[in-house]
Amino acid sequence: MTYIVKPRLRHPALPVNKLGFTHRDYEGTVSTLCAGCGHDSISAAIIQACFELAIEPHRVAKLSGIGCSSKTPTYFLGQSHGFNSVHGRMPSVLTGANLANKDLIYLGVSGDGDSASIGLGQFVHCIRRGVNMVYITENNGVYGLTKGQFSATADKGSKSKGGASNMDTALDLASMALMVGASFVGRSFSGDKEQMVPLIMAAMRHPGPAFIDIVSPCVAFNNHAGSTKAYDFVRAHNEAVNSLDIMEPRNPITVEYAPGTTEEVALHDGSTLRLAKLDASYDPHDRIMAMAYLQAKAAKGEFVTGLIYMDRQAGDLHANLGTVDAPLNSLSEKELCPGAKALDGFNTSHR
Amino acid sequence: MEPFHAFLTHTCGHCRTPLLRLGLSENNDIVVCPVCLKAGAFDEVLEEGVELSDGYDVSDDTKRLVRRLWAERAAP
Repeated sequence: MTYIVKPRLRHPALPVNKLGFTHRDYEGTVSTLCAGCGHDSISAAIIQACFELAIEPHRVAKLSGIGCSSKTPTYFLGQSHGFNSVHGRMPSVLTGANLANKDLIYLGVSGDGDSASIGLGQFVHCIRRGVNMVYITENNGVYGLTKGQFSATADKGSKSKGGASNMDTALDLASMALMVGASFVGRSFSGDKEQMVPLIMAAMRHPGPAFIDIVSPCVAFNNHAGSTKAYDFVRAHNEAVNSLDIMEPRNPITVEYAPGTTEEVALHDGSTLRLAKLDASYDPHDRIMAMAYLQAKAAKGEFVTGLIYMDRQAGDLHANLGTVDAPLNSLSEKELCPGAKALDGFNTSHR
Repeated sequence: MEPFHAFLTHTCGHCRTPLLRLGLSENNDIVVCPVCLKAGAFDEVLEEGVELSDGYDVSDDTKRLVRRLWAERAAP
């Protein structure tokens, strides 16, 4: 992390959103990551998404684990709630926080080391349980903090900076998220802010477990020829299936697309997600097709980005558990502890 | 083998040059300003707010390496 705060001085004519906040109000402290790190671009996209959605910073809880990626919540949303958990354990902390207060927007930020190795069990169970959150992995294929060892998402045959080949099969977190029940799955590239921002905005509006895998090249250890997570490689093999646009309820529609190439999806808050289909055959509401499509493209060495899957009928953990409408942390002791008589009745009903 | 090095987004408080992070050995990362050569321990400078200093122990070999990396970065 860093102690270094940005100066509060700002130009008086900076654009403001409908809450009167500037970009600066969504920033954090100065990044200590390497110059050119993809993670800083993702932080910038999160800041932009929250600015455009006019989210009140105190309504966001950002949680992370350990790694370069997990340091980044310090660099955005400095006025939001934050919790830097232990390695790979962010999902369980986030689940607990969500159970206690479902009124916050939960943003889990993790990396390929944190989510695909030590935290793999936590990652899949958090999604499987349907926790309402945005889970972002900043995926660079290496352990940057410990100086460049291959992570579990490094592609087989990919070369390290020192020339060694990775002999292990890669885990594809987007495919895993689809398999275990994520109701929103996206993939993007840190070099494509135009794609990242609406994807993050749509995920924040989604009322269920939303997962976004963002390939984010490590400029220090994994940005060389032979790496499949390098800027040049990802740009050359990026296969976007759609482009997204979020329209607020009262904004006029100004962009026209050819008939049959777009789809408009009503989001639960009244805004509209417009999907421009770049591959007309791709249906982002068909989970099985999405899984097959990812595998087929991966076999050709292509890297699918965009909105991969969205369930229009998504629910979440609280709906599954049938919790009360009010956040549990707002209930009084009397409501939370109904007394010995009620407990006896409950126990009797289970005998 | 050349030690791990990376220029940071963070700049020197004295001359505003991007700081260089150098991994001299396991658990011994330093940050150095490649222009004024003030230095400090990575964690202490970036996470605890310790100032870069002239007196931080940086060997002549390391200083040569810093100058070379800065020259390579500046070269077209």
